[in-house]
Amino acid sequence: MQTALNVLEAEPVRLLISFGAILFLVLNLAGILTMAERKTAAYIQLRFGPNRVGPRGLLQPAADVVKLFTKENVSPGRSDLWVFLAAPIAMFIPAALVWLVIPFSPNAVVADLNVAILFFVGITSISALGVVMAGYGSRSTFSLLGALRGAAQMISYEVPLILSLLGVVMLTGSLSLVDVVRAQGGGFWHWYFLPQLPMFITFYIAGLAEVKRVPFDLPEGESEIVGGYMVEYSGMTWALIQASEFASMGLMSAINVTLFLGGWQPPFEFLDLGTFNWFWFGLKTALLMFTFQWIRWSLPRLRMDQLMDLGWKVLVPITLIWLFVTAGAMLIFQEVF
Amino acid sequence: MPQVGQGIVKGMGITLKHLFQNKITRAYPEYKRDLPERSRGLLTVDMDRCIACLQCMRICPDHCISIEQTKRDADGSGKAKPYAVGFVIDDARCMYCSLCVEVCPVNCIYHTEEFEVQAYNRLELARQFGERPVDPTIDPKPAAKKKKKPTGEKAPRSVERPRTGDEAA
Repeated sequence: MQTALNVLEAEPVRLLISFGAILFLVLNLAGILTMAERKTAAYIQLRFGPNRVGPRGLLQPAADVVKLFTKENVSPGRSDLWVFLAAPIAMFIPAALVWLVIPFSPNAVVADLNVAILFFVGITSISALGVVMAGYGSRSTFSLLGALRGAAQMISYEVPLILSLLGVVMLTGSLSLVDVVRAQGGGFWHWYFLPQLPMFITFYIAGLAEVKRVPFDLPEGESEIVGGYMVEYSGMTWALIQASEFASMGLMSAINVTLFLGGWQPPFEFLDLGTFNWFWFGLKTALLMFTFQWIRWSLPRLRMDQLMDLGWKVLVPITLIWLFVTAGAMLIFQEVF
Repeated sequence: MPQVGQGIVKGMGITLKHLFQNKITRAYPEYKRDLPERSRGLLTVDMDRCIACLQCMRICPDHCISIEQTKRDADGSGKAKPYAVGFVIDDARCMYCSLCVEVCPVNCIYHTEEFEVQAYNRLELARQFGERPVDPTIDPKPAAKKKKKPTGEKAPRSVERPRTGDEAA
């Protein structure tokens, strides 16, 4: 028995199992979030939402998957087929990959990288490439417009996103996400969202923009450019784009929780569940994901110039100022840190 | 400056309130609303009262009623009267205008409260009421015929000059 467990913990096997588990988690998360999205939308609009398949409509994602698998993949005749088909994969893999460095509970992290935050920043910027590939490969006007908007938006919002992480890195003195979570132990007043409140809000807004959610869904632009870069996709390719969008939404929430809301740390010390602290991580992530959906069904879309103004003229100065404030505070109250 | 974000807070407050409110959707097949008093559902015929006067068939703008008429002594009075052996109402054509109901002298054709019909084939929507089925695909030719008035100008012109493709367009 002991030897079998040792084999499972040995390196190549452990990594493969972890990959499988992460893929399972991400794909299921995408399915569940689709369902949650539709239910939240319906409830906010005083409707019931999907309630026919299974008890209270809970099997709807399964029905959707079956439908999408059996659907034909249509591609435009003039499309650049290789780029067109590679784009959903290029969007999905970064979204799934970053989950590898997120600590779910004290001992449950696939790869405890000492540069995990850098890894997150690097990998998430790849998903902009997927958007551009989708727009270029479809060879359709709306797709290209959406892709260009997406590229502009995602690259602009990388800047406040990265800057807002630096405060936490300075306070922790480490780029490892596990270290960041450990540093926030002992009650919710130790979490970084209090000393880093402007950074937390900036990260949240930049995260919204980075995963192209309302009110920053210009690349999709349902009402103007009918779906943007994913106009031409259908069937499983489209499903993969959707899955990657929901996965990256979950990812943004998870990273936000890890960095600012104490990861798997319980809100009060007496609520410590030991190995089962992933419950706190899941609860906080779910709450953040709900706020993403809540915002989506409440707020209208920003204009392109408003989007750029918010990014460059508001968020970047705020993060820069707060970096100075953090640095100054660390210099003055050296004995505390 | 104090107004920044007020709209966002207000809007999101409303959506949050709606999240917990009672839903206004009526789950249709389980919950059915009472129909209005004079709602027009599917047509039906009381064949015992029908006197085969063919008025409904004639007035129907969609030609959805076909009647096969014979003479028969149905009520035992010794006289052979018109009798509808076949009576078909094609729901695929009916537009629920209610003209047949208004014109019927004995009130034997009327609307029911049924309104849900479905079929895999258009012909399955034709409902037979008589002893003999009537072919619903044959367009019933009403007996009353109006003489077409000659429209005058158009006919001679086409004789003068054959139409070209450009003119038609």
